[in-house]
Amino acid sequence: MLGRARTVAVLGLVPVEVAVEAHVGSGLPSFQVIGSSGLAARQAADRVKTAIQATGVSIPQRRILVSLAPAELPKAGARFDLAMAVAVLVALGLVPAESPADTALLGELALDGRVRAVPGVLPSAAALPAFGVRRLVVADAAAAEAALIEGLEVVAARDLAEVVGVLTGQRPARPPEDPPAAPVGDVLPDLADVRGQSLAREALEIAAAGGHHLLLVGPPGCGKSMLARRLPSLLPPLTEAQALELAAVRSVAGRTRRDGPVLDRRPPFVAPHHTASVAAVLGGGSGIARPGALSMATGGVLFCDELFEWPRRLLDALREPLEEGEVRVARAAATVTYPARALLVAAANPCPCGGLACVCPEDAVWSYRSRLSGPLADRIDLAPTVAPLAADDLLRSEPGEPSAVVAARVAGARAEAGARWGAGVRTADVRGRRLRDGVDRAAVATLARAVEVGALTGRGFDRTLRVARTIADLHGDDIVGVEHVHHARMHRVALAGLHAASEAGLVEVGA
Amino acid sequence: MSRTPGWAVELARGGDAALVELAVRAAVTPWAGPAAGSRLVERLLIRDGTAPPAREVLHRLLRPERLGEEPATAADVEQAARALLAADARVLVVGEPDYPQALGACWPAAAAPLWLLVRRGSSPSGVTAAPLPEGPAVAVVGTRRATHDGLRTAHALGAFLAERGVCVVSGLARGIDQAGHQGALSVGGPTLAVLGTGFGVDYPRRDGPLRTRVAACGGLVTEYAPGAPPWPRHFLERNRIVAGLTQAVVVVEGQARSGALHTARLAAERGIDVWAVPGSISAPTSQGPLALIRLGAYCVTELADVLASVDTHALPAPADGGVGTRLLGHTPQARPPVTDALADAAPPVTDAPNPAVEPGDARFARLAPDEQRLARLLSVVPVQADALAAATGLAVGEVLSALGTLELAGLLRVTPHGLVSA
Repeated sequence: MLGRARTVAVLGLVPVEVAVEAHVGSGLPSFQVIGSSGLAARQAADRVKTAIQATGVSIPQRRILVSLAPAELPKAGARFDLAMAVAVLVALGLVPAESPADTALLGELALDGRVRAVPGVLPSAAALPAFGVRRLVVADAAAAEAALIEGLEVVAARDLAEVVGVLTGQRPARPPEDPPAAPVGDVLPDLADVRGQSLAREALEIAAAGGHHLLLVGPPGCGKSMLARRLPSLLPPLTEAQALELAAVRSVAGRTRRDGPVLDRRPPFVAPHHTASVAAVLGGGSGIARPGALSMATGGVLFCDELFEWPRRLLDALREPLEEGEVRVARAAATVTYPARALLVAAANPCPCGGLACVCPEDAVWSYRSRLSGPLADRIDLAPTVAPLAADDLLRSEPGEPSAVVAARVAGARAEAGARWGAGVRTADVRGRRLRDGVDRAAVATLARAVEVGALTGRGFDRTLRVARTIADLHGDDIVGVEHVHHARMHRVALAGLHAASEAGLVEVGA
Repeated sequence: MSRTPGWAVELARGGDAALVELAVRAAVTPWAGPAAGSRLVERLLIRDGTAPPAREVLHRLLRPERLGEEPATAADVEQAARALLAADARVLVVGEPDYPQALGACWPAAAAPLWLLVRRGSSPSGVTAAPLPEGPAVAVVGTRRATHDGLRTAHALGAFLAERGVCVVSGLARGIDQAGHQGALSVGGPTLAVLGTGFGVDYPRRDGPLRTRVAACGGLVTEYAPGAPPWPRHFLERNRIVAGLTQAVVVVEGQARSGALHTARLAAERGIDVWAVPGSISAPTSQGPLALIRLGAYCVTELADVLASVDTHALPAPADGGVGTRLLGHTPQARPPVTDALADAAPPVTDAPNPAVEPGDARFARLAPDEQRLARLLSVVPVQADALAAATGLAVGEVLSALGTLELAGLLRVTPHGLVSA
């Protein structure tokens, strides 16, 4: 007799339906899984068999074959255990065949029959209504994220026995528990905590308003990390779609939020260490690639501290995902795509000695800063200098503007940009002739003059225009004028000298 | 050594070949270096009370001092000699007529070197008779890690002195030393370098062309055999030669414990004038010169001050003030007359005129008032944009816009440490 059950695989964030069939037939007694490769298949067989026995069911000495279809789909992990067990039970006649027909089952089975949560439940569940599935059975821990999907009834299950009970109608289906409310004080760090640093604060505002990537330059201990952590508070809260996407990424990474609502509207802040591997930052790992830090920061901020300590390979690899807004990870099994629409905030010391009481000669400093690869340096639009505050400045100066005030201006500028370029398009991503619209002739002439005297490269021309456009939006100006252009250019002086230094033969800068 | 070897006769160029041979052997012998030489001279002085002739000192120096110390092999000595000949070098021994007079005056009391190896490249006028430039000499010394301002000053000072026929002496180190040499070379004037290595060693690296030019315009002097590497103690030992060759030492920039201060101390001990260029008290590179000034060194307020240490009667004076003063952006005529400093002491105001920018500067006149305010605040000391915003009370965005205008107008320069006036 043939037993069937339905389950879901997820490649990256893309769900694919998987059909499980179980056949109990004649032949030498065995319990085999096919349609999945090698070691994973044998392990699954052992787990499923043991879990079934743990519920008190004795498995007859027959040849039992469980098939996962489609066979050519790469399958990883233990997520199909529950569906396989149910298919076998249907084949043994212990569960009526029609009851799992519109139900999907997703979960790993422990040897004692308990159901365990697996990563990726949220994206798996998202397409189920479209697959004609009305009901999803998952472990307790994963039920909250599945509950976000509309039109799907979620059943929380503790163990296989409970699942059988629900499917045979002997036990009531348990709805998922509400996740805990957000803890008190669950707010993002506020910009008012920063004293002084007017240049860096303004740069953060411009970065938030236009989506410009940013490098904070300053000696250790002067507050670069503190400033970076306050950028998410200037960004608008995520939309529902963005929050769902972020929750899906976290789910696949196995890092669903447990201390509050699954749908987190706060822009994320992710800070990988500079010794992290390429896979950890961009996504990877063997089998089906998992999302990296960059994707976990989508909609928010990726903070790269000690930028010049990062391996050049890694920095070079960041460039394309930042530009495309997504990262494609190819592995032998499959190529998956994860979102990567994060704002890059980097921090670095100004020079080899660290920067406090510095006497480094100029060519040593440019040589140090040229460690930033050319293509990535090109993506960085702002490079404010952060200077240490003297002790009495800390005592005397008033707290700066709170995040809420700045965020309001940022929201206004983003609205202008959205009206001009189209919904959701950030000024930092705009290319080509459209940039020249609404720009004062004198401003263009000033930029041309700057290129002539070597204060700006050709690529810097457009880059400065983009930042100037955002600055104009922040001031509510329709036309980009000369003052906006100067303002934009001077916000990047820490990197501007790289070009002049390479011209003078002091450093070699990559193309 | 019964017969004087052929190379010694060649190297001596008509002088005392036996003495030259002794000097080269001593230069090559590892334990017969400058330190051993001066210790021996001191011992001999105490015993006899008179200055012994160089020949005798060299003889005694070359006797193996300790068991197990081997003299240099004849092959080593000959190899060094061949290298010297190939480099067209000369050997000057103290007491001989061609040994520099200023240094000779320090013998035997103040550890003048027993021998000097001198190399002069072919100068435009052909082979010159004297091994080293005669006439007055001033040392321009300072830190390797100099500021833009310090380098500019050293360069201007080198040009100023060389234009007037004063030989600029320094150590060819990166930073202030090289800036001083370059300044002198830029006017084709005399400049001389005292090396911390032997000839034929590429130190500082890739500065071969500069060494060649200095050799041609004055000479390269060393106490060490060809191929001797840049051991740290060489740079301390050579400082006494730098001081001894000159009538004045000018320390342009130096950290609180830099080698330039060592040279200054050696100069003071020999009664040579020490000058220091004062910098901003907030710059680490000014700490050396400022400390010297506090201890009594003369303070340089304009390039011409240094000439007071030198006998200038026979020196040519360029008509228009010369390249040196122009390099620093002001001519002597434009300087306001010296008045009683205390009477003029108004409280420091951010709007006080900055002579580097204002007088007659057309670019300045075209600026908006806020831009002029910012331009006046800029100096050679780097400053950050938000500090300027705090000082003027302007919003940081306005300050940045104004600074952009100043940069394109050529009134501001971006350096890694901040913004400086151009």
